[in-house]
Amino acid sequence: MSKYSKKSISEMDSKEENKKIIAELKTCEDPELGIDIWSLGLIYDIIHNDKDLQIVMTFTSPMCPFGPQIVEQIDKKLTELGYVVNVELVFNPAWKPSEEVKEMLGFSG
Amino acid sequence: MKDKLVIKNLHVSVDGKEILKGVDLTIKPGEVHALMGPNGSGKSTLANALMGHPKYKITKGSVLLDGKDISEISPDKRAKLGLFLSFQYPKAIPGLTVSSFLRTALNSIRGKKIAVIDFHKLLREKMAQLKMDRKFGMRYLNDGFSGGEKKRAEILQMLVLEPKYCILDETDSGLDIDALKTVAAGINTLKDSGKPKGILLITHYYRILNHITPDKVHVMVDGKIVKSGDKELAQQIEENGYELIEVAKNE
Repeated sequence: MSKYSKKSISEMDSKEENKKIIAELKTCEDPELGIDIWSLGLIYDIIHNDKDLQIVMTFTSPMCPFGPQIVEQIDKKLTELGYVVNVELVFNPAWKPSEEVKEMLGFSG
Repeated sequence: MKDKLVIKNLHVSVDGKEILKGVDLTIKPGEVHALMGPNGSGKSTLANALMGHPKYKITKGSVLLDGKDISEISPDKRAKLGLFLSFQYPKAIPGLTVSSFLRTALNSIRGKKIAVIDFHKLLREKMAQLKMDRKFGMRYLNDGFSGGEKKRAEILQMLVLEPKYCILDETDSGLDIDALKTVAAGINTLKDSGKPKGILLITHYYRILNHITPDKVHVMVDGKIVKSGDKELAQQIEENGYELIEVAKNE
């Protein structure tokens, strides 16, 4: 088991200190799907420690060829907000598209 | 106040033939104008010319949207300024889902991307207003849609984009009474929500005016607005047809 757990979107969304960060994550896109990483549910947790910020996230698959590009986007945008950013990758639990994401991607009947 | 859509002495030709022969009309946000008139009087020509269809040439007059002359700019720029046209005959685009189409349109109008998750929330809310099943968003745009579904898709687009000025070209045609009520409710919702919207409702029938109260009713005959009045005028037309008005014009 990873030392990080997966938080729900609504739980992260409800915290005031996460608002600005989430707004930025919504502008980071998975280049392959053309959907932002927040909507996709790739973000598992946002951990604040003063100006140190830990983003716990996953990729759609461990082999995601766009992984480094996505991490770079996050790092750049959140650094601009004044944080010292650390992106922590976890693959347990593996990403599973929610019903909503399936609908957004266009593969549910 | 500059906030209005002003059509001044508008002359429009199609393939060299003059269809509109000097139309004057001013629509302010918050107003509903109904435009009636017999077949071939130029109602759809007005709608198409306002939105910028290349076939419809403005030969004289002007169209000012909030003080800006839009008669020379492309349809997408007119849309960004807040103009919207609901097509009389919407086209089918197989392969493009309703949801994807609307998201792209909204991003384009706003000039920035909305997060997909936020867009879907918005879309579901608007679809619920029109009593649409959420699977509707997954279907290909107008592909295999019934007449009523096509019109509903146009209204859905209008609710998502929230344009300031809406031209509805016979949106009520081909709707059964329940669909008509739903569509009318959608238009009323848009009109009363957020910033005020100006609506030009092109119609043949009085029945939609039972559900959407017009501030003004105009009658177009032979490329000109020959009579303007209130809801009463539409009622007279419903009962007597256009004959009396046409006779009055020729005298």
